[in-house]
Amino acid sequence: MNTKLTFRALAALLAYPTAALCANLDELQQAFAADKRLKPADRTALQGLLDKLGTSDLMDAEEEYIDTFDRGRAASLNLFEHVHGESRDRGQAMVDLLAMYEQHGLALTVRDLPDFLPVFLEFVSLLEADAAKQQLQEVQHLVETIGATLTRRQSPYAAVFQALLRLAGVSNPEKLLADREGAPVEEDTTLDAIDKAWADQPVSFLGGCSPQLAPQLAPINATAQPQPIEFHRRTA
Amino acid sequence: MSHFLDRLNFFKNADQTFSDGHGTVTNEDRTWEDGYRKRWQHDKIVRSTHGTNCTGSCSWKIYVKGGIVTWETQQTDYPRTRPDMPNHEPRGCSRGASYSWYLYSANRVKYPMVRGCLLRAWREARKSLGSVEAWASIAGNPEKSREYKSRRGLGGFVRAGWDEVNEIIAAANIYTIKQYGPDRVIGFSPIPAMSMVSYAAGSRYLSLIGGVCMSFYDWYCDLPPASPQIWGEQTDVPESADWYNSTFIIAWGSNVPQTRTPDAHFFTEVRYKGTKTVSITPDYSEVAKLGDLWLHPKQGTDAALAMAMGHVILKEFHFGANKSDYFEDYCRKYTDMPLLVQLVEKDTPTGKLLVPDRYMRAADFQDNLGQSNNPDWKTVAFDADGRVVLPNGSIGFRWGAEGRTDAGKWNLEEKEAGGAATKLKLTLADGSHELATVAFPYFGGIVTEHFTENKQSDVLLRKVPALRLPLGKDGRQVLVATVFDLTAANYGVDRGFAGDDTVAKNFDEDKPYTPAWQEKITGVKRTDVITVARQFADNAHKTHGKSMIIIGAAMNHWYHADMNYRGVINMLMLCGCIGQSGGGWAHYVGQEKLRPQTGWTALAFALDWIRPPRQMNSTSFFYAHTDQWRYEKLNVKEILSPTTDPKEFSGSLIDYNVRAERMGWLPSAPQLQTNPLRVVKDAAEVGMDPKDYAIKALKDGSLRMSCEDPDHPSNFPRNLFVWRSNLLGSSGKGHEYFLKHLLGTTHGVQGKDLGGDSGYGAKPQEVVWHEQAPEGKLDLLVTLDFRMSTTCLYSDIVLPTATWYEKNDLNTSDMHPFIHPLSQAVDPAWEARSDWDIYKGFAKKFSEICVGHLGVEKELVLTPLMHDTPAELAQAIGVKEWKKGECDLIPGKTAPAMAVVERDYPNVYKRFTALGPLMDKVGNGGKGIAWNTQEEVKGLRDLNGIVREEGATQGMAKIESDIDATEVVLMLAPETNGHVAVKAWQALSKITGRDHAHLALGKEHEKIRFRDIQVQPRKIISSPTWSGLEDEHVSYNAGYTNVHELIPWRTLSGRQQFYQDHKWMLGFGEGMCVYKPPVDLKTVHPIQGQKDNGNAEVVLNFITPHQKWGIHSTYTDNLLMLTLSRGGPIVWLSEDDAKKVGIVDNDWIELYNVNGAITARAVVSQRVNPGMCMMYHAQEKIVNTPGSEVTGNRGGIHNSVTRCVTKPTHMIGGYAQLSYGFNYYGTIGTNRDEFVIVRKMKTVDWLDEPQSVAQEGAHS
Repeated sequence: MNTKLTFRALAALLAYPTAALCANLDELQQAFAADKRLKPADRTALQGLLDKLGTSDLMDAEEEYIDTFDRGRAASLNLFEHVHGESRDRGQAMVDLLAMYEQHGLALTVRDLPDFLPVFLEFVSLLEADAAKQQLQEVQHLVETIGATLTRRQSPYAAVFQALLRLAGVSNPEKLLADREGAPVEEDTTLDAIDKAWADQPVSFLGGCSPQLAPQLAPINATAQPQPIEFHRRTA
Repeated sequence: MSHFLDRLNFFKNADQTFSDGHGTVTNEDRTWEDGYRKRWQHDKIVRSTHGTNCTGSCSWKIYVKGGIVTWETQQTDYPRTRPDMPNHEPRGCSRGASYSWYLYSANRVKYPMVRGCLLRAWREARKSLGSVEAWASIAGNPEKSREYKSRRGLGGFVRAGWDEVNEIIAAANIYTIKQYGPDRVIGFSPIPAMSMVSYAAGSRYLSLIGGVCMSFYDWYCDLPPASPQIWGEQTDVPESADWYNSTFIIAWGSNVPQTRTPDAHFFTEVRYKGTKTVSITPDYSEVAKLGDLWLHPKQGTDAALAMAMGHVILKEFHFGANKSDYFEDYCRKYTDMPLLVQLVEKDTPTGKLLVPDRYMRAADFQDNLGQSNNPDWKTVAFDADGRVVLPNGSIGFRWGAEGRTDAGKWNLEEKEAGGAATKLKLTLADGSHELATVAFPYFGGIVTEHFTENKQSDVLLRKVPALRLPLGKDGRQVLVATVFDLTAANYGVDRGFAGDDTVAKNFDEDKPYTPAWQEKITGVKRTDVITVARQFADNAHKTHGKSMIIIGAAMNHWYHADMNYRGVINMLMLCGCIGQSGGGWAHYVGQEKLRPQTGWTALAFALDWIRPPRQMNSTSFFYAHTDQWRYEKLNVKEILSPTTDPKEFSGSLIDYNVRAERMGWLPSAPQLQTNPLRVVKDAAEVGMDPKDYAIKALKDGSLRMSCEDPDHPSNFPRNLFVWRSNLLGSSGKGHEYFLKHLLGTTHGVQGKDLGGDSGYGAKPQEVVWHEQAPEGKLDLLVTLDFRMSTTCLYSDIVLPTATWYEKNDLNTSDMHPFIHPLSQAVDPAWEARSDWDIYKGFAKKFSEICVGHLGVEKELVLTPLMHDTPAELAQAIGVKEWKKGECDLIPGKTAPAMAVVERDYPNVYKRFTALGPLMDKVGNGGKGIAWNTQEEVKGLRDLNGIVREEGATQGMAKIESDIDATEVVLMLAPETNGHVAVKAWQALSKITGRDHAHLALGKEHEKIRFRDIQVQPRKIISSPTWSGLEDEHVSYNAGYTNVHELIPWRTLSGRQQFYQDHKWMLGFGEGMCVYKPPVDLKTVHPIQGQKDNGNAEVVLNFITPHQKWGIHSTYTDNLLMLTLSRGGPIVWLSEDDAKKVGIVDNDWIELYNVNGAITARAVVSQRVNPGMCMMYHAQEKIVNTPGSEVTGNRGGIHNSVTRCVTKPTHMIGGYAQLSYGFNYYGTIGTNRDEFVIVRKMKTVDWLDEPQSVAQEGAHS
């Protein structure tokens, strides 16, 4: 079983849909079928996305992709959008991430940012299974955040996030995403709630110590446990 | 790792010290310090700035690490000022410091995008058709085009490659040019000064293909028409450092610390020198706290306050014991005060009255007072002996044939045209006069719902000393008075004339325009008015003009902005402050000063290839083409002067605009209903010269001007480019009308047009009325932006541009004299490209695919009678219309000028990228001064290199990259090339007859290059394009060279004008400054009580000041900034009003009227006066904006409740300073007279359920 291919397949699904992708959906399906870590529920969900891509007009798929990911921050596929937001730590975080890729002998070839989730997943696909899982766990809370947004919007892309959570070792990702979906969405406009929504929360993806999730995700944020700031030795 | 185990718990290291115990050797783990080190590590620092419409124009250090922009900090290396003056630093504010966020923000536009349904149709069509045919099959098919037009604003974008989008755009342009005419391709981009090459990229492309560049300064309503009226200059103001030279500053409607943040320090610092500061704002704004005194007149009534202050100044300092010799001398030399105006008897609604008419001219006299050149454009005065003299400097001396006898007399020397010295007489009240009873219009008694009137007679009959002057011609005599005497009478100054009953004996009498009189209108205590006016004048008297008024858009966005501004400027002129260091009129609204202007115009409007370019005033354009005129409820009769016979001024506002366009006063776009390419061909078919053909055809009606039928499909604007702008999210007054008529999509217009029985009076006379108004006039809307703005959401094609840290460009401001660069710190991210590269891409594709459709073509271009050209001397006396048979149609005189130009369409790309031959052949210039520029063209060939490829541009200087383009600007402009500056001053010397070259000689060999300004911001070189100096001894101050070099103002009289004598000015009662209350736009009553949601409603005046949490007027989606406030759209209102309708702070409220609706959070604050609410300008409807209960759509932007309303006096043209110039004069987009209904919302619907998310453009 080549578990690496699963990550590649998931990365391909989260990249902008192309004719090449639509022509090779079988390959993705096989990769998912071969990966024993995925549960039937994951495969069913992923199959839904594959079917949609396979049957709909490419341009419809493109429209849907842009509406899903390129509009607004809630489902942005740039991970640091959810960690650092508009903070100036974001630049340094991207520099660190690039350095990490470079340490693995990888150079970015596309004009995209290093924190673009498909880029990160391709990186993960090059790691050994344990290391891959560990890396994935680093971004698990971000995957949850985006996945929950997509679940709430009933997007077929939520399947990819369900699968990622499974690969990260979450035992019941459907429930995890659905529970987040149940978080209150109507606005609490009391001063306390506003303060809470805008309060800085430390998180630890790559040592980034950081702030805001988007305001509408505030309830999720507010329940997150504060985490200690960690310093990572970066030099070899 | 926590390093827990690294730490020793029970020991400490034995100290090893050095340097006498100042240092200690330790072996502790110090990796924790990396966190801080890395924070400041970087690979390089690049100098750039923020190309937004912010006057700050601050230089920034951009830190780059690993090819990623990590942060920015303020630059601190500005050239020093001079001893006893603070430096410019620190410059930069929190708004600039948050900019790098945009680079990698989720809101960034990353790839070229096209609306899916359009791209699908295009690809389908392209399978069987060529590109141009493919576009024709879509745009020419009503069903297909309706499909994508109605989807505008509703998402559905897909990515496309650059090649494909370029092809669609080029095909659309080619089809439009061929089918309808090049002037149906329109481009809107504002404020070139903020990134001039990026602006020039688009305007160069448009100018080469014959498209139209749209103005912005008037449209934004930042242009104060009072400035052209009084000075013949658009806006020329002191740099902020000059505040420090002032000893009395009034900040009037300008919120300096909030909106001029990097410059505010000069304002605070000068107070430590003892300068007195007064702030005048209706609300308790930030500047209020910096004033020693804060006056808060009712919003919109500033003119009343200014008139009252003027009254005090005139009465105490121009008459009586405190009379100032300095003031008198200044007014005599530099203003129109001594000039003669004829008084004529006229029919008015109240019978026959004697009213001030026009200035006397040399042509009125026997033998034209010896003048053969332009005698009807030369004004006259009495000298001290009572003899009629013709002083130098009026506009008649400015223009004329080479070698004329009156050459070199366009100056302000105290001489008469004959050469003899003279001293002009200010007042005729010297015993030999007669007392004429002259009628002055009074508007302060107009009853309005929301403003308090001060009832007096509509016509004030006042005594004016006058003389009967024999003209020596046919025995004619005229009654004349000086502007000085008329002004004193207009202000109601009691001069002890017998029977002068309408003037007040003292300041406490409630007669126009005393301090007591204004109390009723403005609410300001009379004693405060007297104190401020007195101190202001006393200071100016003692310091010879060091009293200054800093003024902001707050005053200019009113329909009667001219009165607010003229009231204030009159105070400054009366006190001799204009043109004096530390004094004058400091109007800052936007970054309107493009310092190297004349170098830039050549590049920007492709003047090196084709002249004239097409330019259009946006207010009139959008008024017509978004069909806002169809809803016009302001009747011309409401704004006419009570001393005017209404029969002379019939029709509605758009009728005036049409007349103005036909007479060549205002520009037109599109110009003719027939394709201008076709016009030339039609002329050839009948063997006529195209111009003669057009004259004939216009007269017989076979050719029509587009303005007469803006709703005819032949006259629709078809393609619109928007770049560097958020037209639909910010500046689009009448936003909902844009959506409805121009775009044809979902909109929130609530009111009805004038069709059927609207009850709002007659339809326009000059314009064809179509019962069914068109929707979706525009075939293609293309927006270039780096962020997904409101405009992008409504566009058909969105293109990702480079941010301000990803391109090379130039940037200047009026607030300081430096020119500095935007530099490419990193490559444009994702698929973004610089504006220069994007337009180059269009040009390339256009050149390729036009072959077979367009070749070398001739077309007819109409140009209005331009200011600063001889055409500004069109109709000296009276207004005659060719259309009505009152005069012949003479292009360039009684109608627009006509020119046949040749466009080489297949060579558009080559022309775009090379400096064309006209710079060599015709030269360069600006503002009426022209010079040879061959040497600079050669210099550019050497610097940029030459085109080696064979073809139309071989051997010419290259303009390949954005840096090449900056060098063109810097090389050709006098401000950045000392050699050109000297040439320009010498050219001006020929016209004035005085030597000015000494002003630049010291810097003759200074040449500023792009790499120089990347090293350090550079101070520009003094040039005659501007009226101030860059000098070791004075800070830049407008009017300085007029006063100190005796260069005339570019007005009819050559002087600063208190008086405006054009027929339309007099018709609307604005010959002299008066107070006029805001106009009634009638947008509330038709809808009031019809949209009940159960909550109480209050009607409030809608004010839109500039803000703190967005980057000037454009960028309000930066979360870092929004976090500092309420995170989304907010509206401020007073505690009293809020209480009345049960609104508490932070409630969701809705504002609406017939124009549309806005949703926002309430900020309830003591800051705000009852009766008004404030919504900061340009908050995006894409961030945290819920649905409106009134429209059912997402809440709008601030302009959703506005509609632009034009003013006839701004349409005047061909009349000296009242002539059209791009962003110089024209109709302005006023919006502050608007009222809205405010109430608490019942349900807050975010419209973000799955279906709505897909449909709506918003993300919250």
